Amino acid sequence: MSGEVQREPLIEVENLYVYFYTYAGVVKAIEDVSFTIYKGETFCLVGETGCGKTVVSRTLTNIVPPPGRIVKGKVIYHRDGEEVNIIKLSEEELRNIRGREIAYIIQDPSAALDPLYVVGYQIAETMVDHGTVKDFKEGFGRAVRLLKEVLIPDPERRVKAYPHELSGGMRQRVVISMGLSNEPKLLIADEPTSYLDVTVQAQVLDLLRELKRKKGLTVLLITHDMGVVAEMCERVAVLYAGNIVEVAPVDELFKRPKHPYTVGLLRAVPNPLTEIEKLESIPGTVPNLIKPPSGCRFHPRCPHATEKCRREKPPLIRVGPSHYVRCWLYAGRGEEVAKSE
Amino acid sequence: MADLKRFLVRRAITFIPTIIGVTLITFVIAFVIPANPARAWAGGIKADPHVVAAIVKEYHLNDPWYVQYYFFMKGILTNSIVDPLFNYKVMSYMLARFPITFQLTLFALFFLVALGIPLGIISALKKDTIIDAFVRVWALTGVSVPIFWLGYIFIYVFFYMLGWITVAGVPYPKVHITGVPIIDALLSGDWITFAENVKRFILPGFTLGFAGIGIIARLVRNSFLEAINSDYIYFAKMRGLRNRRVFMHALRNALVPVVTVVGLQFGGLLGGAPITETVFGIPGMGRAMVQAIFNMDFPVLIAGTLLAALIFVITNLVVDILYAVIDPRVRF
Amino acid sequence: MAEEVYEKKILDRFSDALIAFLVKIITLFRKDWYRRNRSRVEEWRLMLYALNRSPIGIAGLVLGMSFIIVGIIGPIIAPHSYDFSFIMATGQYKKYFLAPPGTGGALLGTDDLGRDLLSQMLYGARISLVVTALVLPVGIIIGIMLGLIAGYYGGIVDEFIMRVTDMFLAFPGLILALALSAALTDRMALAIANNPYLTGLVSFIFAVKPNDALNMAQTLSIVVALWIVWWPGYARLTRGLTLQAKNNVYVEAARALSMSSVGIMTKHILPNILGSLLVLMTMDVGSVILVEAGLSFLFGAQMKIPDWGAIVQHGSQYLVNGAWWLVMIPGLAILVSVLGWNLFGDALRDILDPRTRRSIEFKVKKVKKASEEAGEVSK
Repeated sequence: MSGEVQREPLIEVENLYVYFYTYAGVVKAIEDVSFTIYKGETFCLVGETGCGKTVVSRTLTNIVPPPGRIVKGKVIYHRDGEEVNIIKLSEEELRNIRGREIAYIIQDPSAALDPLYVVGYQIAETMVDHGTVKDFKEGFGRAVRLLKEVLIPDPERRVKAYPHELSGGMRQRVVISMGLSNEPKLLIADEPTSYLDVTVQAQVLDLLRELKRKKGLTVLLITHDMGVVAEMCERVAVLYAGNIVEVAPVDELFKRPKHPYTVGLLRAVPNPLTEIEKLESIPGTVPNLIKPPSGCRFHPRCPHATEKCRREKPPLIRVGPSHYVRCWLYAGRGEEVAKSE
Repeated sequence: MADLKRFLVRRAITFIPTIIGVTLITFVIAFVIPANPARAWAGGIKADPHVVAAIVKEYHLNDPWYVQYYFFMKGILTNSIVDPLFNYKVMSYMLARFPITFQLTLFALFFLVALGIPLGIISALKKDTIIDAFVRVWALTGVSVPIFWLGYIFIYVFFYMLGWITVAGVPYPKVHITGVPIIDALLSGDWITFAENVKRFILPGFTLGFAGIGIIARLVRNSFLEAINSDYIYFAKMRGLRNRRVFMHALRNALVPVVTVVGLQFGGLLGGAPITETVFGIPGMGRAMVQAIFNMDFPVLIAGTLLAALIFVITNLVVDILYAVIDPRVRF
Repeated sequence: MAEEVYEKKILDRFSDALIAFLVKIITLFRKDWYRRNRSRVEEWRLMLYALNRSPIGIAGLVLGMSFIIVGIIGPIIAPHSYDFSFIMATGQYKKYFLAPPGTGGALLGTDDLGRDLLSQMLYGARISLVVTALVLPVGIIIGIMLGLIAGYYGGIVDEFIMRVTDMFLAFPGLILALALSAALTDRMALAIANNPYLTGLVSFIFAVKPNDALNMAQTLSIVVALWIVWWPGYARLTRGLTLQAKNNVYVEAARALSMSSVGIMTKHILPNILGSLLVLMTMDVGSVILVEAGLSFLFGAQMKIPDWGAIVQHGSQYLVNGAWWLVMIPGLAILVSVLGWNLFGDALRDILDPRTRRSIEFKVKKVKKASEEAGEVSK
């Protein structure tokens, strides 16, 4: 699972900048974000609410909602041996990728479904519009099988149910089945469990893991929950205020967190790998990204902040195999690199 | 279906007090406030006292108010009461006028929907542009225009100046199916009568619908904007649905609240459009009621308000049912 | 945090002056009011600034204010009395029968009796203004009171009030008002005729000659009729808003402190729903003008006073003769007056709506260092 095997990249994000042009000012939501997702892995983006995880995921098919705009950067998608830059594609080409090759599962399953249509129709249209089934009749048939696959009981009946007739967990399963319907190359699951009850959360995560194993999917999982990270992921990128502060394989991150923010984050939740008696909170609040802190964006909350942190943006440093951190504390303790894996 | 039946019964029960209340108010206004209706009906101050006495007797005018109320309501509903001034059966007279008002309302509704909805959608798609501003100003102008003034402008321009339209009379087709001239003409394929009706009702219909066009356009704009900014539309785009399908999702959701408002407007207009009917000389219910007020012809007025109130509650009911049909979340 | 500075425009200085004036007046009655309500005053200031930046709102305000001003001074500046006839005065029947606008001395033309349209219009403005001023407060107060009571107490009280409200809403409003005012007119006329003080008062407020006071009975009965048809809309809206406001923590807190119901309704609920009601009130000024014009149009022939609606009705008979001005000009006056209030109300809605509020606020507020930020964006 570590970096020794030659791995094939699926998506490479390079030096991405996303700004939101609001009335209040320009929100610099994402600045200089780079990472790579390899085929077959589960990659995790983790961070607090509002750190930009969702925005990053939306850039992968260039569907950042207005007033957001991708200002700079590249998203290289390895499409059947060909490299395409998502940012440069036309709207129609993107439409063919969205839902077909790169599919999403979004946070709130109740809001994701159109209340006026039965769920079967909504699953079927996802396939009809991508031409993976020839008509709605075949689409409904496939929808029944998909619902069975996501373990919805009595799928023949449920396919004709309206979203409000289903429970939250079932709606999330419907959304998952939509994501899977066209057998995508990459499944982006954005906080797939945060709107669900705890018991249902575990079921949905089990389901995702099972589906991934069966279909050999590549998954980008977005979460704020370190427990979910430990359970699901192979590699993790920690996002803070629009910057990636640390990227590492999951074991490495939990055992040897480097960035002060990651350390704080792990202290704030029960760590499944180490026994910590007391949970701590990270002092301070998430910064305003209209006027982000100078230098390192974490410095106002960092216990180790120095004058340098306030002034200059820290470089990305490779501190171990596949372990990268963006922090002045590790300057000279590893090789400075332009982008992480 | 059992749910629907129970819903209908429950609603019908709440209608009864509304209908009684409305007619009672009219009754009170009509009979309690004016000095002496019998003398007015008999011809005013110089009326023959014998005739007055006969009218008082015939219409139970000396009985207690509740007896009078019962007498009038029963007489109107069973179509047995005869108008004291013009000697026709009151309910037949009003029912003959209803199809004309209905036809006028249909024309107004046509403009409301055919112009209001597209304008609203364009306005939403071109949000914060000159088109959007135009629709906004139109909407506000629409509710500010004195309807009689607008009517006269149209008459002056299209009738006096250009001579394009005809304003008087309602041509009926030979066949009588529904009673509404234009529908009957359409059903029987009588195109000449159909065209004549269109020529006569197009301006009154537009005049009557003018205020509503703006209201509907604004409503469609706001609910369409709300729909296209919703999560399910965003998710539909994330699923890579075709633009047309995404648009249909947004449109259908946007039209849910519009159905209610259009329905209520329809009901309101059906109750009679006194000003439009007066300006264009259309012999509908609204004009009949206005004339009844001036003639102190109270039985007609009561029959008119009874009909109007009935139409109001029935359209409300229909709107509720329609709402449940188009929105699966609503249950009876 | 950077200090907020406002970019002031000329209109903003007017607003500042207006608010300073208001504060001064309130301070006369309650000494420490300003100290305790400083944030509220600041809120008002911000709202006025936002209004100043809305062209639609300013246009509406100007039109609405002109309606009021013309209504007050119209009869005073009118070149002639409303019943003055050029034909009677000059004997030139041919010249002044339906004279088009601009004919010797008659700026807006004359009607079939040679009466000066401009003067009639100016007197008509007064009638329209007085009717509006008489109808709205009563309708609003009744409606708000009933709505508050229904929404606050709920249960059987609510059910009863709302049934009655629905009943009035089920009525064709114009017909109800027409029937009521037709039924009332005779009694109203009798009351005015029998009471010399009332005659004097009526002729004074409507600026008509004392012997025409009797003819105002029709207008006054329209006023009474509109009271009856105007409150249900307010009752319904207020009830809905009260139901929402009732669940707020501050209302629960007031109740926990065993404050009286009347106190909670007037001190805690009403001030918080007033904003939403304000929009309806503003737009209703226009609606009253419009409905009153419609009623007087329908009464037309019976009205012997220069009411805008009645002028149109009277003039419409001469449309055949090409006398467009008798219809177009009064109609336009109604349209402009009503539109003014509707534009103003629409702008107010934007300012008071929390969803559009923020974007407007940011137009008003300029945070210091704004220029620096702009520089950063462009690079």
